[in-house]
Amino acid sequence: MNLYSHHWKSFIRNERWRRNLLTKILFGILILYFIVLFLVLGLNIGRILRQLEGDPVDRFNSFLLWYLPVDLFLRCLFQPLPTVEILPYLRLPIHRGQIVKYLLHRSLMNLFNLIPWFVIIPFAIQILLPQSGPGIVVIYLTVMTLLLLFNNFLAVLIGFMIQKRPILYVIPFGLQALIISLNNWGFPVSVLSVSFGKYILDANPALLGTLLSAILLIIYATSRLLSRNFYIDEIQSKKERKNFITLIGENQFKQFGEIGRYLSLEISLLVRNKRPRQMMVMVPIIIIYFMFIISNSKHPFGPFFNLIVVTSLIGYGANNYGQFIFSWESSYFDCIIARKNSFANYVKAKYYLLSALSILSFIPLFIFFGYMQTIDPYLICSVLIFILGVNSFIILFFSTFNDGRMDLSRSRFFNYQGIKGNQFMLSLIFIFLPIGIFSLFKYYFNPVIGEIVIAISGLIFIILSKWWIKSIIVPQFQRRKYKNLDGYRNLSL
Amino acid sequence: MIAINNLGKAYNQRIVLFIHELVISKGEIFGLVGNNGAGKTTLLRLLLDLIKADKGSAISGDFEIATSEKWKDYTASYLDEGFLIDFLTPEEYFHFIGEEYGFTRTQIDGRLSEYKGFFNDEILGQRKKFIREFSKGNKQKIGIVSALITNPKVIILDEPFNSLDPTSQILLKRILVDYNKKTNATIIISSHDLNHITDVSHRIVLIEKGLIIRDLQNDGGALAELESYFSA
Repeated sequence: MNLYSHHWKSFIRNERWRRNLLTKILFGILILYFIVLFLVLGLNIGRILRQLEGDPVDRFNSFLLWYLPVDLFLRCLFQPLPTVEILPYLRLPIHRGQIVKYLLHRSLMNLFNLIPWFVIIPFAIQILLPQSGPGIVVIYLTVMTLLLLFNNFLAVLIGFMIQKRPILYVIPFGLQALIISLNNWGFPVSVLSVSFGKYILDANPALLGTLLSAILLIIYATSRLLSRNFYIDEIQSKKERKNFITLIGENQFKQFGEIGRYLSLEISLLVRNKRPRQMMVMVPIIIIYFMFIISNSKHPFGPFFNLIVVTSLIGYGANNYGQFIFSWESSYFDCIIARKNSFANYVKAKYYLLSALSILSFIPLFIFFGYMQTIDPYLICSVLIFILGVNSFIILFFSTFNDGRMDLSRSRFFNYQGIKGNQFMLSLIFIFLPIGIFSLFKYYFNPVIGEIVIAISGLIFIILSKWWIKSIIVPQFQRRKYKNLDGYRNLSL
Repeated sequence: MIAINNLGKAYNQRIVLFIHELVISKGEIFGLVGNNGAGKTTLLRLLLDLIKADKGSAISGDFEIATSEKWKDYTASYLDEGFLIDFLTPEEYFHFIGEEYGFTRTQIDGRLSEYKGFFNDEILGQRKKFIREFSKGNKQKIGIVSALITNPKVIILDEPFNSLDPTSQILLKRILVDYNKKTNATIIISSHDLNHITDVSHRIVLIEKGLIIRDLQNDGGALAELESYFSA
């Protein structure tokens, strides 16, 4: 069918993909890494399971109920939603059901459906086949397929629901928290998982029936949801819900002059457009989620884990929003460039916004960890200072390389421009830079020196912010101006 | 006011614009016509430093457009919807633009009241409607007026009559001519509508495949000549 070939064409003809070899390579490496990881695990699965106590099949099954929720959780966050630029097809004699079917088929092509087999198949051959015979193996593999399909379609459904209401990001996080709580409240998940495995091996008809009907139900719900959004006014979403939050921004910062004006523009951008709003909703959800995990765990996490959590959470909003800080405005950047303004102040407003995001994330974390006492409060403050100074500089600098157009409002429901891979890798750099420097000095001297070093380097960058905005970021943007402007007009991100 | 010298732009080795010499004098209403792909928008973008010229230069007043930014102080423009910040309300947008040029909100509101008739009561005073929710024609009006309210000495508009209803087209012609008379500003517009462009322009330049084909003073015979060129 045409839809399939069109998708393939849109993929290989994507300007961004053609231009950016580095992204391609990094992406390839990431995929290869996961495949190799699972393959190595799979090839050794027999040996590993036999070393553990108890029946190897039960051991394997005991991981099922751990793996499946985590799989669902990761799918909700990272599995790309199947999309099609729907508008051009609506006027053609293509049945809506066909488009839905296409979208659902498309959703099956992803790593989450491939990688588990590198472990499941070796397990079936090395352990299950000699122990239980080919009949059981067939049943087991069928049920595994169904379970992965269940997760796949459920993630698609949740993903589309999140597109409509970003607040529904609570679902995957909530499920995850629920599993952890169950385990803590005296329902050991591993034990449940083993008996779940027994049902599979017995080919329990009730289990199979439930699973099948659940999958069909999810597919039905997804088609309903999708076909209801096949109307142009839904896609363009003319009617917007407006409340006091989306209408702020007009006057608040007027008294702060030029920078205040740019800042209030930034804030309007953030609260009045769905995509940035969607990104921002994640910030409190993730912070609360990690607070929940840390305060509920029976065994306290190590200091290093706490440090990673603190660093990534303080910087989370700024990192994610900041990487596209110029691209957010791509739809009207011609207007910014063609008119009189002070570009340095314009960048400065962006710097203040990023700082505000970090500080707003810092406050609840500081209070929480002050209460939990699992990490030195001075260290949290040093990390904040480092993020405000050094990370902001790096984010602003690298964001000038982002020359793609970010559509804030067009056909939102089906428009999910795939940016997750890149974003993820850059975020790793932002997180591990302060942690790396701190650990280095902690290792050679002591933690206090580490704290002081990252705090001071952050402080230097904060004090020099006026200078580096004016002499590094602005010239850097000017150098890339024509290229970026061209990209903002033409390349979708 | 604006002088172009050997200005050239190519995409993938295909020359889309080459202008050997063109001088637009102060106070002139300068009309640009040409078929699709002739290079009109490319020229206007070059005049705003939105794309990089491959050769040659354009000078506005005493400033070279590609190297100085001083010309931005007195130049206003509206090329396409990419100039609108579409999540603002029209008033927020006008205020933002106006304040960039150092006007106060009251001054901007005063300037806006001059365009009440052009807006036809559909644009101002809608405190809960963002620009993205307006129709194409009304967006066009918002963009054009945002260029006029800052008292510019040079105005650059790309196909300003597009998407406007007949009444608004006639009003816009009057607005442009009056503004030019009152302030002696240089106005550069492109259009596909030969009648409109001959109605307002002092001088009309026809470009085709990136080259200037005709350079006509608009003194009676221009419309006939353009019509005969395009009907061929």
